Amino acid sequence: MMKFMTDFLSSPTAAIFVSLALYAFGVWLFKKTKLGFIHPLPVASILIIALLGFFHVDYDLYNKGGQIISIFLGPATVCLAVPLYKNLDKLKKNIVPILVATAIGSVVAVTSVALLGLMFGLDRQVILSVIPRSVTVPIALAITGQLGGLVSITMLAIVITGTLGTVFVPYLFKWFRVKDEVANGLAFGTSAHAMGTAKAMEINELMGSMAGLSIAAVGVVTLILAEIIQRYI
Amino acid sequence: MKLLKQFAIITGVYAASEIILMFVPVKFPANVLGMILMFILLCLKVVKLEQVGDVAAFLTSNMGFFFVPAAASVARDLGIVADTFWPILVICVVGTALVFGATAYTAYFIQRLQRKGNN
Repeated sequence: MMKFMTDFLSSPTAAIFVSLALYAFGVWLFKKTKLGFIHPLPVASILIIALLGFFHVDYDLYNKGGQIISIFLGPATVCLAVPLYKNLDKLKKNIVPILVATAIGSVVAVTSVALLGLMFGLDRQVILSVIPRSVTVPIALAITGQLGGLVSITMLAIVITGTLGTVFVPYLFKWFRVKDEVANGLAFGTSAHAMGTAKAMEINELMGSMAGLSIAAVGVVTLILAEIIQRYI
Repeated sequence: MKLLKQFAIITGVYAASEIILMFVPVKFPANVLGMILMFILLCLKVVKLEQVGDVAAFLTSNMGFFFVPAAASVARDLGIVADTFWPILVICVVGTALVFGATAYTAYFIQRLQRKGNN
């Protein structure tokens, strides 16, 4: 059985099939349970990690198919420009709060990771990997690549942040009581990337699109900030 | 053919940004440059929304799937993940609250300033 699984997953097509099937299962589970924190991404990834561990299959073997999936991240990032363009009127109308608030939010995000990470005595490489935790995944992975971080730690921090976006950020939204949809939308997107955006969209449409607009801005700002802050860690 | 054309434009913009970065001595990720480039092309109406819309919607709405192999790389670093999980969780919880507050209040006060400026 062990040998069979290793042979099976060494075929890239099989690795893609398994990833798709487990992701589809995650989508099904999400719809069935209606629990916001059961996102198909962590569900599928945890099941793959368990599968690889159980059958003693090397990650690199699975990743022969996996990297074919990851290649699509490049074109997918390019496509983030489309929702930006579709909301061009809202973008133009709120350009100053969008740029300033996401920039301040990103500075707080990056410095809080650096300071808390140093306080906990984490490895430099681990801190660098956590820095892009509130950035959308494809840009975060590019940042980790540039900083020499670990993809696994970056993904862990992003998934935790995203999950917080659905279970914790809605409470922050109630606690802070900022009575402004633009401000709240930007805060949802800046603090918890696409997962926060999905939650903001559930609350109202303007908040959702503001959150969506913040994603690209946070990505670009954090990219630049990360380059600067790595010199001080 | 329509979808293939759209896919060609999108991958073309990505490839173009990779080529640009070969000639520019700046460390910048090709995907982010591609996003900026695509935004400019859409604004200039060089690329029209209908020419990329369907594939873009497919790629962005299913983006979570494309992260699965990267997230599964935790399998390779289980030791370090187990060692750092709790501090990272604390950092994310505290950081998320700080970022939310900072962003919401900044945007709120900026808009108030702008409204005052207009009056």
